Amino acid sequence: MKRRATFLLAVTAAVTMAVGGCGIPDETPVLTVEAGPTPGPGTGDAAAPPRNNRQDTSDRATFVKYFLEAAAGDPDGAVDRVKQFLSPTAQTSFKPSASVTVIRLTEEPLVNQGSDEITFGAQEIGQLAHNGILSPTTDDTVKHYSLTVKEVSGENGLFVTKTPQVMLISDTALQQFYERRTIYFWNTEHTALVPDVRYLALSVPPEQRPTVVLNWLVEGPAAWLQDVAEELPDGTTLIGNVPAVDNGRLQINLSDQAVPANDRAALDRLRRQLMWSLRPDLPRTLELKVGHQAGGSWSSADYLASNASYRLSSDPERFVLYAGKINRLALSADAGQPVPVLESDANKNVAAAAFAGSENRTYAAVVTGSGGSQQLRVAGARAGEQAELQRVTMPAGSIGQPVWAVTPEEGPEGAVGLVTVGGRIYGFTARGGAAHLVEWPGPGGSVTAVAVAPDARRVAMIVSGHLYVTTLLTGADTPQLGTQPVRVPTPPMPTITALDWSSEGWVVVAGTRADNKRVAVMDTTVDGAQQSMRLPDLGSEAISYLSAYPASPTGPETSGSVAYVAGSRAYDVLADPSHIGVDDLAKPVSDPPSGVQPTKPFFLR
Amino acid sequence: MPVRRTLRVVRRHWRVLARRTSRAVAPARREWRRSLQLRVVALTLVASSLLVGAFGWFVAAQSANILLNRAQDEVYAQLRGKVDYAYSQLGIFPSPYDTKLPGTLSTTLNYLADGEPAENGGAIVSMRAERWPTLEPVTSTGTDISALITPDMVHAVATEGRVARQIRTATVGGLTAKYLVYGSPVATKFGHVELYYMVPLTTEDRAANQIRTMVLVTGLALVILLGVVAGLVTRLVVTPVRVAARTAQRLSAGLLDQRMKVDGEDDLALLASAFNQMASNLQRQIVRLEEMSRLQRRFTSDVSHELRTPLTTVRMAADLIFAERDEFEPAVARSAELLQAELDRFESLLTDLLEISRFDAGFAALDAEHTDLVPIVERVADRLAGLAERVGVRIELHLPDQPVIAEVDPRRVERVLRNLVGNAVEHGEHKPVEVTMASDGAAVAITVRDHGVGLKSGEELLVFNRFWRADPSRARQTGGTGLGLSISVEDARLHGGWLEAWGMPGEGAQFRLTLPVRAGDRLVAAPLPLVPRDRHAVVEPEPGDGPATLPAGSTAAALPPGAGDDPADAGPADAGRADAGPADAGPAEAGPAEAPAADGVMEVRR
Repeated sequence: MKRRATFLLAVTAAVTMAVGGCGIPDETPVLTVEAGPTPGPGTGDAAAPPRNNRQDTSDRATFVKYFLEAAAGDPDGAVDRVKQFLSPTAQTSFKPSASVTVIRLTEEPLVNQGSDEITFGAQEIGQLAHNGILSPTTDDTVKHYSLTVKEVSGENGLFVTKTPQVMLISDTALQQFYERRTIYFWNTEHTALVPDVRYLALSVPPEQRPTVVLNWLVEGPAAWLQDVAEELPDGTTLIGNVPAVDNGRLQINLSDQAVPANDRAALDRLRRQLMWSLRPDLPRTLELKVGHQAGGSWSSADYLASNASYRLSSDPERFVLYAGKINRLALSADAGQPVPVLESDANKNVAAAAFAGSENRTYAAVVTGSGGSQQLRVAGARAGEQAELQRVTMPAGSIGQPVWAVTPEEGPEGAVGLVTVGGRIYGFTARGGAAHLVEWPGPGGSVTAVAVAPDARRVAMIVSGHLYVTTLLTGADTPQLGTQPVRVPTPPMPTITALDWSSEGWVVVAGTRADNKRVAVMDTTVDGAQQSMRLPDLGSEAISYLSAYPASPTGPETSGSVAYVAGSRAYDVLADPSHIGVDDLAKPVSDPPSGVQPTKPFFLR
Repeated sequence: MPVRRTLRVVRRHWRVLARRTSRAVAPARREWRRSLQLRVVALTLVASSLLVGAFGWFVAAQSANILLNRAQDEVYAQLRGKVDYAYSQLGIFPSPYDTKLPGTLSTTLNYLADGEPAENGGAIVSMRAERWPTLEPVTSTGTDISALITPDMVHAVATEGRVARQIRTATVGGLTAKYLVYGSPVATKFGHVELYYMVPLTTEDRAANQIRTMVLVTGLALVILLGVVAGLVTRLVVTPVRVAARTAQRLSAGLLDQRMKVDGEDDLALLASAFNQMASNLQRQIVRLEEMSRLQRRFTSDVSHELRTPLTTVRMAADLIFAERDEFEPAVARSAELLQAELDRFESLLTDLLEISRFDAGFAALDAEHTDLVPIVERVADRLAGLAERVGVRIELHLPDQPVIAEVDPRRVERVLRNLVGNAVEHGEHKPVEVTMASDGAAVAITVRDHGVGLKSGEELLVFNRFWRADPSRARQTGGTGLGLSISVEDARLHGGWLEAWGMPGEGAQFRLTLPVRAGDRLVAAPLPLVPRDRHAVVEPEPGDGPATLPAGSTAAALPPGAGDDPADAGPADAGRADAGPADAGPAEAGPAEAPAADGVMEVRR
């Protein structure tokens, strides 16, 4: 029995040992599974402009120029880049605010031999925040900045030893190191996208640009647009980065909150918003993931229609007043058609007129009479139909150019009109009736002109000769102006006399130049960061009226269809002013009376 | 030298150890040899253990493999997803010094680790960039995982850019577990960073252990079950066989009415009934033979007794005639002398027959007393001196100087010696007869050596048969009855001693009487060799011509009382005797002589 027990024990031990050796091993050597992925080719950042460093020059004037470029670019490294120009002691005391101040030099930096101090005068254009929003500065006075630039012993090159506690970039650096990007938010009625202009550093690699834009969208619209532009739903975030375009496909992953569950309309809006905002970077296909669910992928260009600017015709219908009547111009679309909306007997004694069209309706506002007996009459009709003009009652005064803002409402309520009367803005509808005073919340007094942006949610106006942009709220009984009007400085033209929207990001203005007191037509961005003379010298006769048909966002930045009235003559803005004469009317006028010229050209918007 | 000494010590220890081991396992070996059941069960256990062990090993190993492969596939699939995601996230950085890269690394890691259990024991994701030291490694759990990612792994992934895997056992966050570590490079525009995905194999390990335990327990149970089944089956067969063996032993011990129990009609029942039939036949034959033997002995005894009375009368008459022979004619006188002589022979023949029949009837009793054997030998020599002188044979005595005291029956011993010496003188061929005596304290041996014609091969057994003659035609000179050696054997057996013969044709013969010093003691060896010393060299290699060991009577005397009932013990007892026997006896008698027969059948076994 003893032997048997021993034997059993041995067998058990053997079995245990045998079985014990066959579990999951404690350690194994490193086993190759497969060859790893090969790194993709670097795209390089050819688009990024070359950056000038501190040691690149010993010329003080150039040094200052370079210094005023240092902060431009990726906002995350701005402070470090500026500090590279500073001496070690200045570095420690340099504590600027997060935003970058954009200035426009009014004079070349003054370098005095024998002195380390360099001074220059500049106007402040605005503050460029990290989210690419350039907030214009209302104060357009010239400030003087002074820098101390000298050599530091033991180090090569020049250093800034004393500097204002701000990060400065020049307007040229802004043009050179940034790209203007328009991102879009839906208006509160979800009928059209509201553009929001941002500045994207060119040093951001192309692959990262969608990520940057998405983060801007998540952060929400600029402050002055907030009451008309709808933010993305609360809690929306970008999950991870937006991957580089792969096989013509851009994949975006947003958090669950971006789209309410099963809301296809919201998803469609979101993708249109994204596609518009990412349009310069958009490959063939956009693929959207919401949370962990596939939202969808879109390849068609149908999103373009969501932007009202894009909906504008490339060949606008043009009109002109001639002998108190509205006439079509020969070189325009539908030149042979009758004048819309107005019955032919109503087309008389017209002093100013505006047409606006929505999808299936056309609205007309006509100012008749002259002097103290001016009246505003309005009508709205289905496209191709006529309607009787209704009178709008309003306080007496000089009635300005009426404008329409098309709203999403159907029928006669589908458009809101604005008109200046005696320096104040009144709102009216296509049904006529009493006009309502629209309060101007900003400073200054007399509003002399108003223009509605293609998106119908932004207006530009001239208040006391200055350019302002603000938002227009049409939802309530009476239209209202946004409470945060932004004054856009136009330094080349301290006073402007006429304006209209040149495109969704640009306004074309007319006024007298500060430097040579000549009348000029100029384009300015809505934030005033960039201005370019279109017609620099039109003599001395002031421009009283200016009308433009905004350019499509897919085309050039500024409109090619601008017309103005100087004196009593109307001109088209081409490379040079081109007079609009009787010959240009669609219906030839036989035996035109002398001295009567076509005037106040306008467009069907 | 020390090596040799050490070797010697080692060898000695080894020998001691081997001896102890063999002594320790001796009972087990004995049990192994004896028990068929043990052997069957043990062999079944070994075979089934091997079989079940191999099968269990295979099952457990395969299960562990399957578990591991599944885990590997799963983890690899997840890793690919993670690498793809990391690639998409990091692919937008053309430079490793991008200020947003560290942030992206950690958000990517958070995303990758999202959904992994965050507590200890969960999967760990780690991203590092060996080539870009400015990029800090990031780990999802924040614990130190340097034990999991080996330099080999880093080399394979970071330097050679391969996807690799490894199993590591490590303590992470206070929890020791096996981890499946996968590493893969993540391609970026500036080279690659590395993604490591470490998944604890706790579940798989536990499952593998459970399978192993299950297989082990099942296997053990199976083996034990098989052993039990084998034991039961063997027992089914062995028990009747044992019963048969025991019955056979009892039968052979004389219990002739022992029978086996017959159950059922199977093969074992057949065996039992055949066995019983055999036993019945044997019993019948034995009883018949015993009866015949008894009748024969009775007849001899009766005849002897019945002859004595007329013989006495004839004797008296013959004595009278013999006394008056001188008065008769010479021819008649000669007849009277012949009558007298033949009557003497007849009388001694009758005496011997009666003695024999007393032995046969079992009436012979040993009248043992402490006796000095030397005077007995001398007396026998004296008595035969006349005869010796007559035939011209010299009797030489080689006796110890001091008395040899043994507990014997002097009358019977003297009779044996007289018989032996008388035979030797008779067949001495005028050559001296040597009588030698020696004692070793336990036994006394007396050899009687003659140099006569000797014995032919096989005759050394026959000499003890009743009425046996070497040459039937040879004239009887001494007038022996032909029963002397038979009676001598019976006398020796009565003492518990041996009487053995050796002879070679032409070289004479030697008889050896060995007696225990104390009556009833068991003989193990004789102090004198059976084969004469002058013959050793010649005889030794020829077993066929070798001397006959005749322990016939002695064997029965040597057996302890009742030992014949249990033949199982006979083996070791014989072995003991065999070991001690050849100490100073001739090698020819080294083979133990066994004569288990109770009826005096003699047999020599080498």
